[in-house]
Amino acid sequence: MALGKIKADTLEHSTAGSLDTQYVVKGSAKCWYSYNQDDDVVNGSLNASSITDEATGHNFANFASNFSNAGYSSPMKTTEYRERFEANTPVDKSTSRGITCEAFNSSGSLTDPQACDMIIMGDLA
Amino acid sequence: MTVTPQFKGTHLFDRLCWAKENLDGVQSDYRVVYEDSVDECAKILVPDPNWMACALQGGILPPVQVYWELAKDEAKPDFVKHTRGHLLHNTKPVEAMTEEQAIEYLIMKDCPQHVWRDYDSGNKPKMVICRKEQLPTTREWRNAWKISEELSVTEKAA
Repeated sequence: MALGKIKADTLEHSTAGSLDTQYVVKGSAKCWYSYNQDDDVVNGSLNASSITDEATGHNFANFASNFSNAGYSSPMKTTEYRERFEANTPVDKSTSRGITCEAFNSSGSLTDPQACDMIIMGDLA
Repeated sequence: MTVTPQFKGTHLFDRLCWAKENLDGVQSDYRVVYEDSVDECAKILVPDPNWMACALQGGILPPVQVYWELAKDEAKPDFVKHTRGHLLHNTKPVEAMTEEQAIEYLIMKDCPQHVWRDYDSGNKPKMVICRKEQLPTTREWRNAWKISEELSVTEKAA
C-alpha cells in the first residue's frame, strides 16, 4: 500500500507529558453515520454498508467492517424532541449491525428524524 | 481514474478510510424492500454512498461469504468475540461490481438470510428491489407499508 507510515508507540509533548498511541487507536470512533430518515438519505458515514429503515422513527446501521464483539458503545442524537435505543431484550445489536435508534416528537410519538447522528466506539474484528 | 492499491492483507477499516479519502460517494437510487416478519411493516435497506463507491471501485471489499462465516461464529452459544476477523482483511478483495451486482451483494450481506434465500417461494415476494421514487411519496403511513400482494413472483421487472 503506497501510503506514508509513521510507527510510534508513544507521542511525547515537550513539556506536557506523553501519550501511548494505543489511546488513539482504541479511542477513535470506528463507525459513524448521519441519516436523514425523513428523506431516506445517508448524509455522511464511515464504516457503514447500509442503513435499515425499520419503521417510523426506527433505523440502524449495518457495518462494513464488523466489530469484535457487541460490547461497543454508541452515543447518539437526533433532530427530534427526544430519542432512545430500542428497548429489546436481548438488545438487538450485534457485531455486524448497530443498535436501533428510536426518535420521538414532543407528543411522544415516533417520528422520522431529519438527522439521526450516531458514533460507535469499540474494537473491530 | 483512481487506482486501488493492493489491499489484500490490509485491515478492512484502513481500506474504508482510504476509500473515503480518495473516492466520491455514490448515492444509489436503488432501495431494497423486505419483510422479515408478517407482524411488522416492510423494512427498507438504504445503500451507504461510501460503501457503494467501494463496490463500484473494486479491490476493497471482501467476498460476501466472509460475512456469513463471521455470522456463523457469532451465532454459536459460546461466542465471546470474533477470532476469525482476519478473514475480512486477508481474503482477496472482490473485483469492481456494477451497481446492480453491488445491490445483490448488499442483500446477501445485510438482509436476513431467511428473507433472501427464498424470497419468491411464497404466495407473494418477501423482498423487492426498487428505485427510491417507487416508494410511497409520503411517509405518513410508513408503519403500514407492506409489499403488494399483487406483485408477480414469476415475471421479472426490466
